Amino acid sequence: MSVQLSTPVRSITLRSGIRAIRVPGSLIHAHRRPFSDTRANSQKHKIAITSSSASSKKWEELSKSQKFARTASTGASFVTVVIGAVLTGAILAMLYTEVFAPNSIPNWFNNIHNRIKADSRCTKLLGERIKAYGEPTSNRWARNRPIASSIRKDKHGIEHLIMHFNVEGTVDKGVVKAHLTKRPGESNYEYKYLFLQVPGKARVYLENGRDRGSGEGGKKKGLFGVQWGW
Amino acid sequence: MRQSNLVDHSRDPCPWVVLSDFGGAFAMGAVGGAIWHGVKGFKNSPSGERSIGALTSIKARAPVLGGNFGVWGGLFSSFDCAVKGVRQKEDPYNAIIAGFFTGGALAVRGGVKAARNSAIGCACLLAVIEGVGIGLNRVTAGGSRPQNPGLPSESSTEALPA
Repeated sequence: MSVQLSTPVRSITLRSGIRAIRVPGSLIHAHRRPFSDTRANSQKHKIAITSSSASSKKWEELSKSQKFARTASTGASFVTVVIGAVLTGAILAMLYTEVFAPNSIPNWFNNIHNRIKADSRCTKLLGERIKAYGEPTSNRWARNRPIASSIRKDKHGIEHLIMHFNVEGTVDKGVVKAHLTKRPGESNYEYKYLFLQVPGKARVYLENGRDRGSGEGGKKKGLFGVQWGW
Repeated sequence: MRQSNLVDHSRDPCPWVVLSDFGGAFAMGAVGGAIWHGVKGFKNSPSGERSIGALTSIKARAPVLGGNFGVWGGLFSSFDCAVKGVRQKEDPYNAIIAGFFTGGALAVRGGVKAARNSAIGCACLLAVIEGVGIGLNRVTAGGSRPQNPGLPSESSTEALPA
């Protein structure tokens, strides 16, 4: 019986022996042991070990150039990961400061829009369903008309947030202009002015820093009655 | 609706922009799909039949990808218009909210959980796209951003009726 089986079994072991180079499984060898001779098996096992490339060697076994190559490839991977992390962080930071932060332009835009909608003088001028939008743009990708705004720091370290946008209701449309300042130590912006200008109508001031200044007395009038700077 | 002296080159008004967005997204998907599946079909065909394989693959798959893109774009644009209509504001939150609804709507057949996950993922993706857009705007087109006419002088505000 064993003689009859020997030919097909040998052909199987030969084929699986080729495979054994890639699949170094002791299970296959254990399975084959009763049918095939052990010397051939050990030879195949050797082949499987020596075929390992430089990438799977230990650091101590590498030659000098291989060490250099591995350092370079690991370094390149590291640099790639670091660049990716930095870019991700930059995008998230940009997203936060420009969109979600309480002092971002969109949030001030939303606040001011809500104030306009709540103010009876404004609703009298503009009508109902007041919508707010920025400046027309030729950018085909922009779904929103961008809001014109700027944040600048003057020589005293005071940050000026200046913005204006259009509002439009059922009756009329107008422009809202706002100027907010933030002193160096403070974390919140303060209104310098905020008004709604409807063409042909008087300006509607929702905020005017001048009122506050005069309410406090002569302190903010400046030196020699002149307001030097802001 | 717009300032009379300014010629507006911006996009179509709201109901119509959905149509143009759908078409644009379909075209983008079809062209991209033609390139992608052309290369894929070429690569996966036996030699001698590579060009015919690429063509077959393009014909079979590119319109499907275009359709998928178009559905996404049209749905997103519809939600964007709807959100604009409700909020009456034009700011980056529109895209994020619209992305949330788009992701949810596209995954709604997978159940509540799938819809929620897809909605959140899509909103995050659009938030990142908005962030990248703002960043690119900052870096490249600094001059073409809408600028404020500087500070009004003290004397001009003085003369205004307060």
